[in-house]
Amino acid sequence: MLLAGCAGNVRVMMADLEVQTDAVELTDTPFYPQITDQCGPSALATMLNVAGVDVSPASLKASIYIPGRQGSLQLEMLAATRSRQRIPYTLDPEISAVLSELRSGRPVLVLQNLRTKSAPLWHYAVVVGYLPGEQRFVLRSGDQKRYRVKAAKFLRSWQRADYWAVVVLEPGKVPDNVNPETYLRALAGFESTSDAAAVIVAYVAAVAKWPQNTLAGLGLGNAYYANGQLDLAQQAYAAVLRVDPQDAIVLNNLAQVLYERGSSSEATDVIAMALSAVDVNGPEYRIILQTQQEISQPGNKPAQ
Amino acid sequence: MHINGGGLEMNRVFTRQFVVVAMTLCLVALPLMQAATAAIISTDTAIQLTERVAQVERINAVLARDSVQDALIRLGVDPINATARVGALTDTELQTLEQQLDKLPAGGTGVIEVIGIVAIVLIILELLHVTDFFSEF
Repeated sequence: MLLAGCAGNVRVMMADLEVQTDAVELTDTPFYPQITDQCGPSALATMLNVAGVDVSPASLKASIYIPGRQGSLQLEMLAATRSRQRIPYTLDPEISAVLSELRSGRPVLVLQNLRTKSAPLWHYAVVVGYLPGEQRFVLRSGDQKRYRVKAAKFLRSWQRADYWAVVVLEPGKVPDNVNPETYLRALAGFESTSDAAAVIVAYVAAVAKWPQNTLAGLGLGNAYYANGQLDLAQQAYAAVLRVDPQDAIVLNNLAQVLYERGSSSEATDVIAMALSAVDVNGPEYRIILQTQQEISQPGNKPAQ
Repeated sequence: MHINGGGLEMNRVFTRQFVVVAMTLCLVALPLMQAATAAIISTDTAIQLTERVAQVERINAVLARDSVQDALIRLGVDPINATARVGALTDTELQTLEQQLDKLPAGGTGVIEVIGIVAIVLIILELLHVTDFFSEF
């Protein structure tokens, strides 16, 4: 039964909450009272200001509000965060993840469905606390600075929104409790849509935290490459290859950098290694083959 | 060619894989129709294939971007803002939005303050919604 399944998850989360003894409330979290259907801009302004970005709901409206939908989409909330050089990190769909963030001093942006599955009423709020004594969450929500909502009611509204919860992180500060895969996925999005300096700071910290992680190293190399720092890109790729000499994508990118720096013969050797490291029928093969073609064209000047 | 985003852009990899398979099937069909001639794919064709894949990728990304931008403008977003906003979205996000812009949750309606009889009517409506919800399951 679908209803039983839904209620089951909320029951499990209520059990997680029942063992909480200490109250937590981030009272310094700023508050931007919502105007009509602008809960997206208010909630996001709260999150960004906490993360050190001086921005108002009015200025966020241009980035996220859709008049025809009378609201803001989750993906655009994430994109607007990245545009302001902050990393949106999506939490695991667990109330324990939310509590963990609160106890680490970070408020949590959530999507709620305040009505029913068939007639949804979508709403963004910021969770700033949990009070075990009353079994209530404390939210910055709508026009209420301190909206205290019963835990079960909150959980049901959050469940209908597929447990969407996000924290906003500053590049360069990797929290202790993050999952590397999720964090690096967030960084990959950050990579394509933020300014180069912020992306480099983010990846330097990721590599420092997870030195054996080849995705982090690839990201750092790519960040330097995008910023025109080919020497540092080369070093970053080389570092990954010391961990995994067969990483074909890194080999490909290293070959490209070597070629652009004028080391054609070394580039040719490296790209050959890249080709031999992948399945001939795989998707990377043809891309790497193209790199090889570009590198081996006689008289082909390296791109500036 | 420099590979961006590495293995994390899984959608991009799968899209590419799908396009590559489709292209390969098209090319494999040609030699079969010319029974007696060689069945291998020439290097030249392979190069064209790779370039086509990359081109298709680029075209898909551009199309998704345009499609989402148009949709936002139709929904009342200022065109200048719409351009900036699609520029801030990743290829994966653009593909998602291209398909589901009208259906994805748009958070906006907050808790509405009402007074008097309007409140009673709304409460009854809420209860009716709740009743419908439970009776569905």
